[in-house]
Amino acid sequence: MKLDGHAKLTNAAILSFSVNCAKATEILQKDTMCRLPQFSTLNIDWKDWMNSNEKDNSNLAYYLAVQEASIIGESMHPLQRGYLTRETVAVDIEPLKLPLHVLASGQKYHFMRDKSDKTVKNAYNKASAFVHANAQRWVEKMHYVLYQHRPQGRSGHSTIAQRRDAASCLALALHSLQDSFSPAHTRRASYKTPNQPGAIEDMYIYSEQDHNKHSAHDYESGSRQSLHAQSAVLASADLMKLCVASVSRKSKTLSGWNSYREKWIKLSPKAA
Amino acid sequence: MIKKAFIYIGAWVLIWVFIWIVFGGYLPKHAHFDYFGIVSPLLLLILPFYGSQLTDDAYSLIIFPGVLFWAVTILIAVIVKKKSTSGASD
Repeated sequence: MKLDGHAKLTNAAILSFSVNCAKATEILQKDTMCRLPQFSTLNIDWKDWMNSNEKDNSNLAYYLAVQEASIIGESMHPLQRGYLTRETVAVDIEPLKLPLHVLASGQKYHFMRDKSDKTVKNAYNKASAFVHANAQRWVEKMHYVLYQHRPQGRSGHSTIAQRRDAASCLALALHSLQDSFSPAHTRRASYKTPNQPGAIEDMYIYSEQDHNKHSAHDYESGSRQSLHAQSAVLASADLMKLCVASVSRKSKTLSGWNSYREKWIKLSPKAA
Repeated sequence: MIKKAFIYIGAWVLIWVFIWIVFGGYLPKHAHFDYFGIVSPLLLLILPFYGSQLTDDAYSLIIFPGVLFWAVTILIAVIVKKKSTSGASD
């Protein structure tokens, strides 16, 4: 998926999550959880806010390069609007994460398979465990921020760093999850309803693909009109809800992961 | 001499960026990030710290462009040094 595709899908997921989260306030007990600054959209001057396109992709690359350059300066400031969206996109462009594109161990960040993975199941296990582990980290970090942290001293110790780390972890999970819906990354069984995506039948190896076709598929899956994009938005919103629900129950562990995985990133029995 | 070397290397960096922006469509690029080549010299330096197996794309995206960049940079430094040494001996 392209940079602007990830941004537009994450923004849409945040909006969907916010609406559903507010509705489910009684279940989640604390509506403040729904209004965490992390769950705010990244608003830049999109040419087309619905569909992934070259102009928005280039503009976002430039915007992120400037933001990444100032990342040291912002370390002690509260989280900026759209931080989660920015971090989700940054997995593709952040200097220290860029080499992951060409490393065997980095393929799970993009829900892809490496040549060294003997079977699709092997690659799938790594990628799904990666999504789970990072969502779990968000829960642990936010549990600390909300329930365990004890302010000390006159002004108290800030939890900005922990909140930032938490958002970065969730961003890793969201990035990989969204990529799992791109036809350039995986092949899913055909489906017609975004809420019931097909099981994953294959995971592709980037170096064995036609890179131009990969790029075209990535634009398509980042466009909100496509079925894959609609599924990615719903799956992302559902993951946010799962994380928030776990923390609001004061749990340190991500609950409901197995049913979530069965619904959104199920591995087909056909997968070799 | 150092000032001269910095000017030449600075010019080379600008040419490098210009080449990747203008001719990016004809040069190796990753589907997720079009300007991979521009940062390949820096990525080449940090790549050994990751300690993971490289995929086939690592060569065209990072290793070959990165090695080319540093080879030209070193060549510029050597030429500038030689010129300044021969100029001083004259």
